[in-house]
Amino acid sequence: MTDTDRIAELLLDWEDRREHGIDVPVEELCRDCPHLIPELARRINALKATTWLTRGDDDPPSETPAPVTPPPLPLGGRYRLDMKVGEGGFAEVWKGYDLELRRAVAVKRPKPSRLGTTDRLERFVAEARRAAGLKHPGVVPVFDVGRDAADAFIVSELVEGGSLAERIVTNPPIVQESVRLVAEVADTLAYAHRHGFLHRDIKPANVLIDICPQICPQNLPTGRGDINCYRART
Amino acid sequence: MPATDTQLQRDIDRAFTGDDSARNALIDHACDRLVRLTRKLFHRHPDLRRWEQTDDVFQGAMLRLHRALADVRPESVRHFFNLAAVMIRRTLLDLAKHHLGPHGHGANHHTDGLPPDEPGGAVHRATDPASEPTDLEGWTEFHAQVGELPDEEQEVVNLLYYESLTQEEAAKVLGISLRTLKRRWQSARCRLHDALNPEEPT
Repeated sequence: MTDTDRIAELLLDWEDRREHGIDVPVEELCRDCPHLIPELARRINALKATTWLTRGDDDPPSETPAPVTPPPLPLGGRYRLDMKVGEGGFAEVWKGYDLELRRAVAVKRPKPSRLGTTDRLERFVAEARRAAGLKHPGVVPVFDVGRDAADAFIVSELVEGGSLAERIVTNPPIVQESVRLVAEVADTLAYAHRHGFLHRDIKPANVLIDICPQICPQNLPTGRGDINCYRART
Repeated sequence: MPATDTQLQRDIDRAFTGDDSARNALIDHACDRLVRLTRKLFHRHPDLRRWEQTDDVFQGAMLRLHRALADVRPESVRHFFNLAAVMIRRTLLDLAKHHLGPHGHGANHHTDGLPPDEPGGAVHRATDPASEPTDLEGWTEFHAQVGELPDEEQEVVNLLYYESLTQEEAAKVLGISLRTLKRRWQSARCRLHDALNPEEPT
């Protein structure tokens, strides 16, 4: 056995025993080959100094919070999903970020549990197409739609004011403002009706308030399916 | 969630049989590793940490990694892991260079970190030779030095460090005995230590 092989064997022996809590002195390891002591000691020091490479947990200790799951990949290579802001029976809505245009957006996508048939995805995408045809200050504009084999998503303007339901709880509108809000919703509904859309679930939770403030009723189902949401300008 | 050893072992076993869904799981595993190693890269750089997962560059790197691994048809599980590890290493080097370059965030930014000349600031952050690198320069050098290792040792570092496989899993992927794997791992660590600490007496 060459000295190189011997040192390698001794190092394996040293580390095996160290893993069991026994730090064998280099002199004891080299009892039969004392001429190897300097080189073996140097390598043991190197291994001790690189213990961090062998740690199972790569997360930095203490200062950082608990490990996080990896961020989802940008949808379509463009839209980063930052935070889920709402969900319904079929789809969920995320606050996202358009990496190309560098602006916040809303991203709606079917819940993973509701994905399944191509037909469902087609209906979901068709919803976006129809909604994109509406042009009204009270309708949240659709920016983009995308899909792959098993997923689909609709990208629209992000309305950051929260829902009317939340507003009623946190800061109830006075009478005059309530009248104005109802008028805005009615105006937008009238526009949608003229274009063949029928909302089947008007309620405060489905009305978004823009920071302008404009309001924006969500989830406008029609006889042909659902569109995303709409809003009315004051 | 990172795969547990058992899950990963199952994925490796399935990948050996040519199961495409297992390969997808291994791709996810590689992306997870990139996230964790990126966090490590920026851990001690409070002035850069806030960019680590929100920066477009990082998102782009994740996307490239995912696409590259999804597009390529590796000859074997061993080939796949090596390819993934090399890509992770290159990505980390790119990220470090991006932030360290003259126009990088790290060049002039200290608004949420300590001023460089105050205790604890960059000027005072000394590298402890017995611990992992503490700054971007140190990590950059480490990743670069891994690329200089002999192939057999580099492959072991790829699997154990970049891919976080257990020694048993790595030995199986490489088709070598556990003892041989341990020997290469020790040799690689000694070589890296020597390369990163050239001034230490030998």
